[in-house]
Amino acid sequence: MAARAPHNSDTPGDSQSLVSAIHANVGDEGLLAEENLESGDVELIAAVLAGRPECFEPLIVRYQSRVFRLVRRYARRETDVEDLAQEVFIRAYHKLKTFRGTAPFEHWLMRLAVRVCYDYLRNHQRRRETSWADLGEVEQQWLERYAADPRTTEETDNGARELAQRLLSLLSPASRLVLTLQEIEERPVKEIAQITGWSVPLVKVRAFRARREMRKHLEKLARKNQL
Amino acid sequence: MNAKGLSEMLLRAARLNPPSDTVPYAFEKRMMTLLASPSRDLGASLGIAWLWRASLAGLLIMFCCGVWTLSVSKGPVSLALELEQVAYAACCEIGGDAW
Repeated sequence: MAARAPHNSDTPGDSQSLVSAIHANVGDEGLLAEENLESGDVELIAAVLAGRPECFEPLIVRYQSRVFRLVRRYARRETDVEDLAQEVFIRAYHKLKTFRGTAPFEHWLMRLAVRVCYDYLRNHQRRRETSWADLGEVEQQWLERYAADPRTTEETDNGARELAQRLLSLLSPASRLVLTLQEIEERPVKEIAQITGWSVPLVKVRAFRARREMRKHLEKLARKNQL
Repeated sequence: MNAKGLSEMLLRAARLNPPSDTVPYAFEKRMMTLLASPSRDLGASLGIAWLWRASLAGLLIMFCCGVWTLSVSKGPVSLALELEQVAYAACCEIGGDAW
């Protein structure tokens, strides 16, 4: 297999110097201690940058399950999920030289994955297939139970999970992203700002708008089902 | 129905039911094959390179045409006169033939 390494003439030639370059960055910026880098990742990245693309495979094996779990929050169809995961690793491979080693590789990769998913949501927002019109039987039953007595319904039911998925897929890309990161993954606003590249006030504004948008959709659902 | 309560409950439902982390069989092998294939990267980079070349060539031609036009024109007055002649040329021709 002769995958071309994502390095060009401006990258140092030998892997040892790259490892030391990444380590030096950690020391220079002083943001995180060297031990924060998961052992092995730095060496593998350095090897890939030094022209040994086969060293990228262990990185894929190490992080693929986390990438797939993250991607499944934004895409439902398995074909889309796999395409997105592929896109994440392709982008990671080609942007590997921008990884400075100031944070664990996993954080860098997950940030990249979130951005890939956000791009996907924005590109597909015009052809969303979900609506309240085609509620499944499980969702309908759960909703009726909730309308009758909210205390008897459980969040762990399939109906609730399906309904939550449907609700999220009806939201605008920015709303879906911010709610997923803040409410479902329970990330702090500052971290969301870092991941998305938005400012902290913008994240707060978008989260507020997202909750309002979500309530509006639910009110529409209630009217439609006369609940 | 309490939309706020329902939305909170649905978000809790999404939180309590994390998506699966199963990976398709031999995904990493397919990824490595994909990364090894030159088509995507090479095609994209070649396309971009050609687009840049075409745009630069276009700009160069535009610049040369602009310089040539300015060098052969005799000034704004003659330009206006020439424009008028061109604009009325068709009318004069029609007038000459038909009337």
